[in-house]
Amino acid sequence: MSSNMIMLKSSDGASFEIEEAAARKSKIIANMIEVECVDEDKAIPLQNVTGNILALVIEYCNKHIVDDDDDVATEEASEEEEEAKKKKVDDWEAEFMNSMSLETMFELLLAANYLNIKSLIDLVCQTIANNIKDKTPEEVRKIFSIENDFTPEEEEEIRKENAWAFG
Amino acid sequence: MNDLPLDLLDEILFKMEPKSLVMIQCTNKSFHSYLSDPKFDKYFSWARPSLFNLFNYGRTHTLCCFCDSISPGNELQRFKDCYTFGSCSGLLLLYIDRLFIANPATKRFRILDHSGSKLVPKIVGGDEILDKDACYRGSNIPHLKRAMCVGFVVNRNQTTTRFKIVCILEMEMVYGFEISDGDSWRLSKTTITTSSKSDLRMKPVYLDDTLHWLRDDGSIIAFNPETEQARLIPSRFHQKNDMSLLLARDDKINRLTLISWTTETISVYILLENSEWTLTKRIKKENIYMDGTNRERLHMIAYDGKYLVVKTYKKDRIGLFHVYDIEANTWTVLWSTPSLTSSARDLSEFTPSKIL
Repeated sequence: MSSNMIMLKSSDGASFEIEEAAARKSKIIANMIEVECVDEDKAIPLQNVTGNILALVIEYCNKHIVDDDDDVATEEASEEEEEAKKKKVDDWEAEFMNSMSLETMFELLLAANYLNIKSLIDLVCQTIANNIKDKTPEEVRKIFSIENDFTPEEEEEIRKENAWAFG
Repeated sequence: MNDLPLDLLDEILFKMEPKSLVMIQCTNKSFHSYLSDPKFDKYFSWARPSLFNLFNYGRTHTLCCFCDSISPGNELQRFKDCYTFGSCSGLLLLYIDRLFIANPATKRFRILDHSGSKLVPKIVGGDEILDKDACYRGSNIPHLKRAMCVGFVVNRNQTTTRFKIVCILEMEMVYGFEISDGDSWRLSKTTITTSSKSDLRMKPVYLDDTLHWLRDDGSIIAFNPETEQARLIPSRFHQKNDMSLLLARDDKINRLTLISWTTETISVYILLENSEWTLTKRIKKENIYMDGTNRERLHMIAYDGKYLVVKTYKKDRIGLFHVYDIEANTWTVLWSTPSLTSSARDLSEFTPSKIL
């Protein structure tokens, strides 16, 4: 695979150089490349993504482009090797997500959505969902800044309906 | 979270386990109404009391279904052997290529080692079912009869949750019990000897800390997994040829209940202290809408003191699940399934909990 480099420019003006193969993880950028509206000397402006978030997206894409290449090269890899590799990716993803705040996660999710990177959307959504595990409604409200607009009676009633989850 | 486009919010919510969805629903009004949308029904099915069905569908797919949602639940991959051994306090004891307990409401599970068990391999291995006729009637006897042996109980007090698996071993007129806490398996010293041979055909019913297996003659083998005491309840029930039976627990009065179904009547018996089955209700079939179903094509599945769930089979081999409200004497059709599945009696009641 050729290692053409592409320039991406964030909304706050930061420029990032990235391998075309990695950039193609984004369906939007891949489409731009297909229809040849990418000028090699010019950066692709990404108006909805700030520099610090774009850096995370690129980190993710770079990591996964290497893995995808591996997949092609070792098609006959044994089941154990496959499993070991999958675990490596899972571990990397876990650490990657672990390093950011919830606020960053939401920004990253919006960026992944804008750039149309399905696997990253899934990863972020799953991580956010996992954050809710074993949390009480009070904790969930705090985490997501949700305002409680139930009257105490209404809340009591709803909790009663779902008593099993609180018991 | 509120600023998120709805499709992204859905992506997150669809990935949550049922218990988390309940918590989200309890945070505020807009989430409460948003999550009441029918598109979430499938995700909530584990969060509501329901009937759980594990199907071996055409021997290639295993489906989990709920009687309260029209769409099938999670589709699992192809597995040869799958059984629902029991359901207690929101935990399911399942065998899908291996033995495990699962809490679908929290999506947690624990794999159990059954290598030490003498009985489980006999139950899960063995003959493939080739008797199409038996399948058609939903009486997948070889497999399910073996699965009847297993009892699964969960005991909770304030501080601890313990579960026990009990396999009953039939040796002509003597019964033995194999017990496991999930790690180790051992034969209980307790055995019980009866004076005549009589088959067990139904899953045990758990009541008053005791598992109850109904024998064909109406008597009951009762076994307490904690104290490991066993006794034979010498109740008698004369079974006629055209009769279907279901042993159940009446949750309201906390008693063992026996339902008999004949071509003419449905009768409800409860077991009294004097070990006699006492008739409490008899319903003439002409009062019941049943669409010319005969007994060969019918199975009673569950009863809780108010509702009776029945599966019937039609000529086109579609199975229909009906709920009969005994007090109101009304029928409702719940859902239909292809009847050529090994599922008829492999259905369990399910009540969500957050154990595990």
